[in-house]
Amino acid sequence: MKKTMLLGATALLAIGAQAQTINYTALQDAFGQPVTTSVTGKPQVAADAPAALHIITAADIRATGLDNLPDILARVGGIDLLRWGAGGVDIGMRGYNQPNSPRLLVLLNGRQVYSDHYALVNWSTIPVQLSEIKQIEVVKGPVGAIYGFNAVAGVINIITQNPLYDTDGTATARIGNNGTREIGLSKNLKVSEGFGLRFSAGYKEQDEFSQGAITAVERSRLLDPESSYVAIGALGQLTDSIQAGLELTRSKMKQTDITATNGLYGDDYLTKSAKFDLVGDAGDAGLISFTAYRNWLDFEYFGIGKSDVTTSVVQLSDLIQIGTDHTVKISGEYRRNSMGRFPAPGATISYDVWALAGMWDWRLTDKLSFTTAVRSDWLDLNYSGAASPPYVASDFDRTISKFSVNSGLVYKATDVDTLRATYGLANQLPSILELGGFYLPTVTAAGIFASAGNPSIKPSKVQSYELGYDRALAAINGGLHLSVFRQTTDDIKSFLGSDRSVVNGRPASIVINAGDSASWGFEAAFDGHATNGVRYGASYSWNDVNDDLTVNKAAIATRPVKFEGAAPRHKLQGNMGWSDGALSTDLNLSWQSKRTLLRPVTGGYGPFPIDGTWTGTASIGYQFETGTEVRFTASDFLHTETALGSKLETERRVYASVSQKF
Amino acid sequence: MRGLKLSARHGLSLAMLLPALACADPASATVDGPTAAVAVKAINFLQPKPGKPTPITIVADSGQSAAGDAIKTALGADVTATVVNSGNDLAGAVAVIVVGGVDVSAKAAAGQLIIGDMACMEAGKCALAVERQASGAAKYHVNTAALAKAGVSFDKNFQMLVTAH
Repeated sequence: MKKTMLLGATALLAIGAQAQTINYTALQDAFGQPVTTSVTGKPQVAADAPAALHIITAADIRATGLDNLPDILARVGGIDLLRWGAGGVDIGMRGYNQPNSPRLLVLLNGRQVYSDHYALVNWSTIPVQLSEIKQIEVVKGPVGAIYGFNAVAGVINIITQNPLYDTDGTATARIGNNGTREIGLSKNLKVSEGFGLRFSAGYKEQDEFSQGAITAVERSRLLDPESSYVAIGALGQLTDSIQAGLELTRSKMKQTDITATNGLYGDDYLTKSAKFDLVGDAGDAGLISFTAYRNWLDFEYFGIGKSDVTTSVVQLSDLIQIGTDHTVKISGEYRRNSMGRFPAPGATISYDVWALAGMWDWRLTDKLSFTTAVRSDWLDLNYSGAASPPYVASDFDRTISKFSVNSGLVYKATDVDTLRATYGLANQLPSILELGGFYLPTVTAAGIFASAGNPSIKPSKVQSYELGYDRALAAINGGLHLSVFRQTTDDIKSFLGSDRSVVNGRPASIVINAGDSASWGFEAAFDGHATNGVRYGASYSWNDVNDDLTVNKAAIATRPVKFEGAAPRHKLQGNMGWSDGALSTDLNLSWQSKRTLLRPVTGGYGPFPIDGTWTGTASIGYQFETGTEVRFTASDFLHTETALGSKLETERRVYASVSQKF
Repeated sequence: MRGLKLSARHGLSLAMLLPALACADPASATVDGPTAAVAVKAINFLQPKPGKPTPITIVADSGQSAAGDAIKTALGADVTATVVNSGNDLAGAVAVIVVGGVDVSAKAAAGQLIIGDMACMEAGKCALAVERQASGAAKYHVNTAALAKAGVSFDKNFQMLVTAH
């Protein structure tokens, strides 16, 4: 292995061409539209991507005046936000959202920032300042053949500025109601032509929301959210053909969160990461990329327990252009996840995943291109330490092999009209807790009764069929985007419920597969920019989810699983802003139809209906010639409190921000 | 096929209503200032990366000198442009922009990027042409044989975004 890597490095050194990470700024300037690699792994202009892609630019982020990623993402059609508290949020895509939503893969510069214990995203731990984000690439629909397990609802790839190409720095201070206090700093420093540094750090605190239908016990668990992080990175041109990057991050947060069983708890996360990248131009042999990173997570759910997860990932890929019409990418990945058993310690559960993937992009004609990608993942589950009765060690002796596919045809009928037909098949791996990392024994008269994960649980299989149409509207300097899709999910997973299973002859409460679900959906969006500085846009999304569950047949549900009616069937939003370069304003109004979530009741889970509701966000800012910006933002300002989840109601937040560019 | 497409476009009255569409007709006209301003952005992706300001030579034969001057005016501060006729020496230029039917492929030095209109690129006399689309986006067309012959290479990320011929 070592010898192979050395030979590869030698080959790269022998080639003269200069290797570069993607200069998004320069490419967008040249091509007149954002560039992405998130859809196929190959650089593409946004209009050519074979997927429903939405790119949130740095200008978009700044215009919102918002102070957090979830609220910014919620403006994208098809994205659903469940807000459990001032910090706790779940983001879903295309109708599937739930507490601890495990269907979404979120990356920061290619590194996963979702946490493998529950396969959830804790947005407060993402170590980034909004001001340093170059763009957020939102890929809707399963992208398993490119990213592997868990990219089933979609992928959100957050791209920060590159210290070799961008030298921005911003310091931000924010103060608002509900005890909001925040400071942040980010800076890219180009030390020399071939070496750059990135530094980013932030601290934020808020008061937890106080209104909402929560129990006295849950109220006693509320924590005022507090988060902090620091990230440092370096990017250097090692030789003409090799560029290397290193990034270290640390983030810490505590806040109120919902659990997979719909209970409200205070929790505490400490994350650390180390990432090393190497990209080399090997001439005709392609663009070779090597990435290795490790994520560490120490977590504690107060009143339940604590544990830790270590995730190690090594990726190697080669992107090769063959002739004028073909591009292929060959990738290999190794991943290891290891977690101390939770909440009852004493054992370690882990798995190793090996994956091999290929992508082929074929330009059939000037107007028509075809892309297909396939990926195979092999998982080997391991368990060591104290037994988890009624499970025995051999129950954890399990392998999982899954195949993922993404295919797409893109037809550019005219310079302004693009049609897409895509198919995706992805697999949602059970989280490490679902695979048996969760183990809570209770002593009863009949012996030990276990509430536990299930090493035999099957991954969910998600398929999507989609037609899309995009039209560039030059007259309004904008575009129209339409998508219609059909999505199916087989073998939905359900976390612990009040029903009982039998494991090795003994009753237990375990994670199970609970049936299937399917949905139809439609999304429409348009946007425009006038020469007088006015910009506007609107989106409408509709989805119709039909569950076919094997559980929850009675009035009281036994399992915390329900997608039908759980996301608003209709969501409409409109946005308008204006800027003259110094003064800028933004207004966003959103309406979503009613939804019905689950909430714990005696014996199981009962329905928790939430009426259709309007929300609004407004922002006004002024940028001085000195680079100082003063901004006032009112978030969810239409009501004092708005129910955006089944627990705490979202309070109106008003804050002032002062930022200085340097 | 391309000719048919272009003829059809000429007949579109929509182009008269939407002036932006007019610039989506790359092969019918010589390189103009706005197109050249987009084209020279490709210089940022040359390997190895040239220094700034980058010397550019605009070659325009007699009768085209006004067009050459218009291109020179349209280019940004990242380049220093000189307008010459086809008899002149091209030495020292990182890129050469040809106006009209001028053919400098035989006299261009190794490593020089020759930029022209679509016809020039398709004929292999130029390595790069730009199609400005009605949407406001730009499409870079590269004649890979001409590029290789000139000994010019682009950053691979850029190379994968261009339309190769």
